[in-house]
Amino acid sequence: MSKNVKNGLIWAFVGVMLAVMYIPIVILIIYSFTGAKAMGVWSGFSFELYADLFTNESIMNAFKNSLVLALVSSLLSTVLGTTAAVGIFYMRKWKKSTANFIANITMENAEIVTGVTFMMFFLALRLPYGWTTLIIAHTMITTPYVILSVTPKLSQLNPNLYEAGLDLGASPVRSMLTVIVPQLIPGMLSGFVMAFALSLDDFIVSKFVNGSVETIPVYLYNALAKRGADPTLRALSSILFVAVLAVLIALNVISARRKARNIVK
Amino acid sequence: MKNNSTATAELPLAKKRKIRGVKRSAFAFPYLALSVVFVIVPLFIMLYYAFTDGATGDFTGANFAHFFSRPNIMAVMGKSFLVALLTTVFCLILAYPLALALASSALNKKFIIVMLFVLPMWINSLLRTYAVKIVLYMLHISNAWVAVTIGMVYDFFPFMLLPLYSVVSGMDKSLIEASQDLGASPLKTLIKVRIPLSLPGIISGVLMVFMPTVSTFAITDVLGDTSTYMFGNIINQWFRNSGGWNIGSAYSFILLILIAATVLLANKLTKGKTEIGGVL
Amino acid sequence: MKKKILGIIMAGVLATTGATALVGCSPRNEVLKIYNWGDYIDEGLIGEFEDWYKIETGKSISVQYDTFETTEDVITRIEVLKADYDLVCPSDYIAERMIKGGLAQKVDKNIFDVTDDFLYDGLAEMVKPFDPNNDYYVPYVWGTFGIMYDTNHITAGSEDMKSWEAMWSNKYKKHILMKDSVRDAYSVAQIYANREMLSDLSNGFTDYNAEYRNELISYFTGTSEKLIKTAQDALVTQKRLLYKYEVDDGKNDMLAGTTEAHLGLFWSCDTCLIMQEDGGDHFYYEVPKEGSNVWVDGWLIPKYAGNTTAANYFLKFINTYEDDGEHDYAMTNFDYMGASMASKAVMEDAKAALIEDEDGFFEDKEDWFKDMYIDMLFPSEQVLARCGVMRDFGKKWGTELDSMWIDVKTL
Repeated sequence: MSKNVKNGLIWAFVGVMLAVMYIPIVILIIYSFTGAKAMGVWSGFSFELYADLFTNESIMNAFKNSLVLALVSSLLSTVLGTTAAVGIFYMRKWKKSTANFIANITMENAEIVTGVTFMMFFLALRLPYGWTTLIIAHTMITTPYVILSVTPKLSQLNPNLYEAGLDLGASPVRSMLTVIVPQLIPGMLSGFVMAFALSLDDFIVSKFVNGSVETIPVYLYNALAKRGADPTLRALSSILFVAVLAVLIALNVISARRKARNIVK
Repeated sequence: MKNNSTATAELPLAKKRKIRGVKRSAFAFPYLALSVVFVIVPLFIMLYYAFTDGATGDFTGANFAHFFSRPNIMAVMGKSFLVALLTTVFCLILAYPLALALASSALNKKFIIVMLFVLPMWINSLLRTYAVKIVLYMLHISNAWVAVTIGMVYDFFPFMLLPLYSVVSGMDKSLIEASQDLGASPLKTLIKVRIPLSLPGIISGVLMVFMPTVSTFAITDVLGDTSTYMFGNIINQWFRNSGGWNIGSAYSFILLILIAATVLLANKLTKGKTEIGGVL
Repeated sequence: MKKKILGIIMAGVLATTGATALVGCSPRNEVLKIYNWGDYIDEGLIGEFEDWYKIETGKSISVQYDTFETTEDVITRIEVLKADYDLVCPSDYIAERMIKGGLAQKVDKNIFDVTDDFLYDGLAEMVKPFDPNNDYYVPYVWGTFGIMYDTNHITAGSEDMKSWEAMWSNKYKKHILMKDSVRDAYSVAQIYANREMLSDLSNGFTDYNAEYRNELISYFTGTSEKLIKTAQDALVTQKRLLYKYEVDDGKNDMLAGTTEAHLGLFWSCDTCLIMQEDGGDHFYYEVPKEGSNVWVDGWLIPKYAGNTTAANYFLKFINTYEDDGEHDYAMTNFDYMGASMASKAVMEDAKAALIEDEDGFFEDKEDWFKDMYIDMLFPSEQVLARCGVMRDFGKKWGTELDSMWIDVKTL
């Protein structure tokens, strides 16, 4: 098989997978251009939902809250998760299994149980519900995902580098930051992305600890109970999606240009 | 990133675990300490609920007996594990070749394409599931089990893809080339070299898909019918009002134990074959 | 890099805690904390209330408006978390549990007085059993339970649909939607299972007399192992006929037509929304002859409220309806909600306007639709005579019901 044919096949496979992945998203975006309440009903092309979106204070506020919460908690969990993954990786035997067991609990437990126990625990601590409790809860439930994405990178790591750093006089923290962390970046990045997406999407745990802070999922599910899904969220999702896509493409173009320039030099 | 892992020869230095007073394992301390406070202690709250009577507050085993006296519910538990397993297997079958393709020279490790697969996660999962429902309706897929499995695979796919890609793309190319140079067929290279080398990523992905899938319920609510009621739905039903928290806690505790046991079992099964099995 | 990340985190945490501190810095008597169902008020009215309150009392107020998903959330937040909400909006049986449990405060009748005359005809009778003098509970939105069906598949006004038997009928096998709500399923199953006795008592459902009512209401006031078993058997029989248990998306699916369901158990507030959204006449709603439930969502001032004055004024505000085109907040809210509201005055005027069809809502629709729609939104005495409110069974029986429901779904 010639290289071109092989590459073509690979591209075709990736393309098909991508298409399947995006069919529902495209449907969602298409239905954001009609005012009907139920997705699946076409009541004529309009920007109604987009117009509604920007005048709906609850949604805009919830959106802001969701983004801040996801950003803060996923940054925290990336730091916590990466250090934890490194630490656990170098543990042995029972210590390692215990640590792994602890790290897996929130993932194994039904989310609603995690939510209720968080609620009871914060109540016992007399911690008022709101940003603090949300950030703690989201950080704790997303960190295991960071650990699981960083760990595989660790086993690909050259074990001698950290010591080399220490031998050259770096402190353990410095050695970690300058030698180990750069190699873990792909794992950390995927962990961060997952943590961010999970936090952005969480309703069940948030519901029990949010106090007065409304996030997008909280808004969505609460409205769902009595009045059905708020159609403006289709517009919000579409904007969010296209915005992230645009940023992604822009970053890609910039890095491609930079690469090209470096090659010219 | 540079390929630093070429030097696999172990220096005696690497055996040392304690250097200048600081253990490397100490890096896990902040998270583990927080976990003890925010995960373990609340877990005991759940245990307390599981062993007490909701109305009287007395110590009781009745909440567990509620589960063990109902074969119908135990059957649902089995079904939930089966669906989670199926979901995990399908995710793996689809994500592994994709990860290889994404990391191949054809795509030149374009991270943007990987991100394109993850981007749908930015859309609320419930809205996405509604959209999947419309697609399934258009395709005339009316079997609830098929619909639920498709929905779950769709929802959890990125959790499998990311760790796989991260490992596959960092894989030591020289080993694969060596295998090919020594005359191994592409299939043999895959089985003997690529898969063992990507095992840490596979394990991470399997865990990240399997564990949350067992207790999920939103997807079955939207895509399922009367036959696809899962264990997650049951737990959710118990926690809908505070009167059910006690039995619900017992149920979740049982689920927790079973998942932990499954993971341990998987750990035992893989440990013999590779040293990386310890990742679990 | 690390410093930068840390800096971002710190900035984020500081900004967010700062923002919350700012909100929290008004004195408690200038804040009104409301806990309501999601999307359950015309949000424009919240701003109007703040202005209105200033004129009415000379004090300023800012509303902190939180929402919940299920009525159980209310009792959890008040009973377990002792939240200091000034006004919450639980459903009937949770309101009863809160009143019984001493978790509610009396409404200040000097500011706002709920009289029988204020409430829609027949509604006062529904809440009397747990709040005899209208001391605590201020009904807000309410409605009935019934069967809604798609007239593309089932003839409008079909005799079949006038009975709960439709929900157990082989004729509609795999086209029936059952609400995934244990309390609703339980009462419907109970009425269905006892339909013969109810028929005898009411002379074949022609005379809804006191004897019939007593029997019907006995299903809603309490339960027993025997009654639970009766309901369970009926629900297990029904299960194989169902298309699915509907959670929240059933109404959207019916609307979009992306479903095999042709009929189902619905709340009248949902059916109102569906029909308004549909714009055509593809749906029909019926309260079956055997009898049904009335559901009520209403306001309570919880025990730990921090600003009862503002809470009472809010009750006055949300029910203010003066026909001067300016102070008609209750009507504005009705227009937004599109569901049955508690205020008799609002309902009467709204009904008159609908009969006149001032907005042309019934244009291009079949004649039956108008009668059916008005009956649904403004239930007649005839309908309310065969309805009762679901009462609080207590925590223990609530758990028994959950257990029954889980068994039904897994058997």
